[in-house]
Amino acid sequence: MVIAAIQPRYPLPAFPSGAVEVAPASWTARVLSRFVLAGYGLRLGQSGRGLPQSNTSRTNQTAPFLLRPSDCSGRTGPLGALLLAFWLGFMSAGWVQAAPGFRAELEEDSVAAGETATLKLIFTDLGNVQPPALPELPNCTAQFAGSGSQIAIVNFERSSSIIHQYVLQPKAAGVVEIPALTVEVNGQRYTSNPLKLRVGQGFDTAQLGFLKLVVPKTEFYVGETVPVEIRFYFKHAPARQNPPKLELDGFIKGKEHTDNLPPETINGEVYSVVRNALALTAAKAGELTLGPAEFETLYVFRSNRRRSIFDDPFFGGGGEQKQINFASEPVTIRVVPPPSVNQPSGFGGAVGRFSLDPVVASPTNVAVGDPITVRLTVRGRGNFAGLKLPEPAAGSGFQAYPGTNSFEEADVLGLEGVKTFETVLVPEQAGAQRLRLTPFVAWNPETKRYDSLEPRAIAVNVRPGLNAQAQPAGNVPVASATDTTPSRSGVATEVVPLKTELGPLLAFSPALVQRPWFLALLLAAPLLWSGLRVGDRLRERARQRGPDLRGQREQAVTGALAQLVTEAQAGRSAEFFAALNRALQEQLALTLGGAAGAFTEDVVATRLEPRGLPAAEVERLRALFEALAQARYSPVTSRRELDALAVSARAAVAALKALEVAP
Amino acid sequence: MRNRLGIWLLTIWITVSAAAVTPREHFESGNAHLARGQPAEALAAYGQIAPESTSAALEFNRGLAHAQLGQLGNALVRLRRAERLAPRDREIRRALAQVRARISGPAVPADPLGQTLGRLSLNEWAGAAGLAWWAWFALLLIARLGPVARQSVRGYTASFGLIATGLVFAALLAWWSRLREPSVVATQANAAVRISPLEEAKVAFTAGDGAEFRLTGERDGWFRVEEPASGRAGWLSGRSAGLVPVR
Repeated sequence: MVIAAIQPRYPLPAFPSGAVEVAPASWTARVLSRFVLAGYGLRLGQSGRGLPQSNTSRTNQTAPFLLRPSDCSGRTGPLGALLLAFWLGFMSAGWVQAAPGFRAELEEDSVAAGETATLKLIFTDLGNVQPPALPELPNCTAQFAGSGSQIAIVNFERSSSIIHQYVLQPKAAGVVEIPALTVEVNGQRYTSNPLKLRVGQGFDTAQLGFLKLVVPKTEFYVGETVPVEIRFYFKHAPARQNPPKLELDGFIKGKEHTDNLPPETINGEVYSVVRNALALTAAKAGELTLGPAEFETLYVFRSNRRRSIFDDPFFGGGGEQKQINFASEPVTIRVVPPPSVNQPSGFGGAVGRFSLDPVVASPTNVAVGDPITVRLTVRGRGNFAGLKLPEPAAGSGFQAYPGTNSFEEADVLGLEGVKTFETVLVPEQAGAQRLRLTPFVAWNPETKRYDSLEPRAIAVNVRPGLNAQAQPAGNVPVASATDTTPSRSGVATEVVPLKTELGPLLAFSPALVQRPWFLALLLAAPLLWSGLRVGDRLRERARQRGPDLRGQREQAVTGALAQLVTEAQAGRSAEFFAALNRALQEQLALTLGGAAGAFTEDVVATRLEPRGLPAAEVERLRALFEALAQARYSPVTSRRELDALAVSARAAVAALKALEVAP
Repeated sequence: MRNRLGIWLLTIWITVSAAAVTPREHFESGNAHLARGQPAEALAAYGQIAPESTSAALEFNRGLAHAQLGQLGNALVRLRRAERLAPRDREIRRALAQVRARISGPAVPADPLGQTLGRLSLNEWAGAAGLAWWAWFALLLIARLGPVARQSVRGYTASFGLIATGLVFAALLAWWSRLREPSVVATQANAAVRISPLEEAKVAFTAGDGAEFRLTGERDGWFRVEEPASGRAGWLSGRSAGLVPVR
């Protein structure tokens, strides 16, 4: 018979607020005796002051089912008092303390991968035992979920238990073995029973949707702020969901924004898309892993089982709730620091693309010690936090005071916007001053170089204060001190620095374009060019005339060769050799250039052999020259010899033609 | 004889040394006066430097001295001369704008083309055009040396041809623009612009100190001028006007 109640499981209040023990029999009997003695009208709450408080005894003010002395406060009727006395007597008469122990229980002994199971570690009559740490479970995560207490009286055996609960979530199908756990309480060791959790195939989350981590690039600079998106593509909307989580190692999370994107069709399936955008700033260099992103959702599935009438949809039941967790793939990011080579001195870690508006300073006509408010506005996109407030250049004669800044976001993530710096400067010396501020320095990841935004110098007229000082040499106003003429274009009078370097002295001579020699020099080029072109034209004409002479010579060679045959047949030796001589001379003129008739036998060795005339042809030509020389004294008259010489001459002319240079 | 030669040599050395050092000393002396708020003394010191020798810095500082004396016309002439010598000097341009802003009377119409081309002096335009022009012809000459040379300079020849033509055109445009610029500045208040170059001639209109005119002719120390805004023309005496040379 169980008559004690158990605290509700959820929510599980942290120990010790929920632990209650009924007092042991000894002091219960004393209460009973005092109650009986007091009789009607006795307040239990008052008598409870004398209750012995053991170190394990606690009073729970919130547990609804537990007997509390205060519940009995007030006057009770005689019947009630009698019943209470009877109950207490009944209770105290036969109580037996149960044996202390430690055991483990699983609420569900089989679950699907990805689902959760509850593990209870129950410490019976061991007092207040702290929750022990669970060992690493393969393919399963374990998380402490809270503690509770339980008082049970079974067959007059009373037991008090502390229950520590853990949520187990196996990741893959198989068996998760929970080993026997050992705890030491009051110097005595207690060991729990080992358990096995069977894990079936999990739910295929791809049927519902998937999670994607969208990173615009995989190489960041330290200090660079980049928008990252966690996109949840789903076919069926979850009943409930928690905000997505993202593992951030080495990144600083900035602003977040969630919105819906237009549905997308992927592999023929239409997915709704929820985008969770966030600004991430790389905080350290190295190969960093971003993600995975995780998204916990709760889906309600229609259940075929109907255990009771309350499972009917009319009562809001009939669905099976399932926690589905989606996870994206992690992304590896390479983070590099901005280069230290040629790093400007004012660089404070700002990374982005920025521009500087004209500097506004007011007033610019002040006395020594008067404050001047300077406002600088920087626009752009990037990590504005790294922009340092400019200071007056060293030795400028201005004292700077701490400034303020404000940022006006131009997008939901705060990546783009306008940052306004405002600072107060106080001039320390009188005179016409030029206020120069140090530049804003930022690393531009697009151009991969440092941008230096230098504020324009501001002209400030500083009047002497109580301790008047001389105006510093080097700067003068562009107007006379007494000039009150209003400016026609609203341009304010400024001070400008005097030129201190005289520079080279020169005369105001006429410009180059007004000097004849320069114009002549310019004209000389086209004139020279024209002259060269005319020369070209003349040469071209001469070259065009060339083929006429060449043609005549070719005709002469052809005619002479033809005549050789005729003269040989007729046996006219003198005419034959004259024709032979003409053929050779004209052909040599064609081959070597120059005038026909000037070639002797020497030309064979001096000009033809070097040009590569074959040896046989060399010999042939020499033989023909010798024949010509011999013909002067003893000409050949034999027709056969003349025919042979004609054939030889034809071959020699052909060989010489092969050596001709292209015109 | 030897002593006389030594004296001559010493005299020449002193003269040369003085000539080399003096302009700078005068310049620095003028600067010191100007910084102390003594523009008249500064002008006197600057005036010690030979009038035919000048520099952008000298003209600029003289312009500032005139401006401090309230002589806006003279200041404008000096600053414009300085601008002609150093057209890209921001300080000069800023001072020029300051002085022009204080001159009463009709403003000179803006000339965007002149301002763009005015980033370079006329000599710079001409020099660049001449160099590019001759470089182009040099490439054409190289191309005549043979087929290999012609092949190697083919791309450059076309590019230089375009550049040279463009620069010559720009130089001519700059010259034309410079000639159209107002180059005569009235240096006196109520300067009389007469209908002919004679002191006795009738006054066509009067010009304020710093009024700028376009030069259309010159005769016997008189400038024939035309007011850019209204087109009114007349003759202005050289004694009451300053000329900004074309450069």
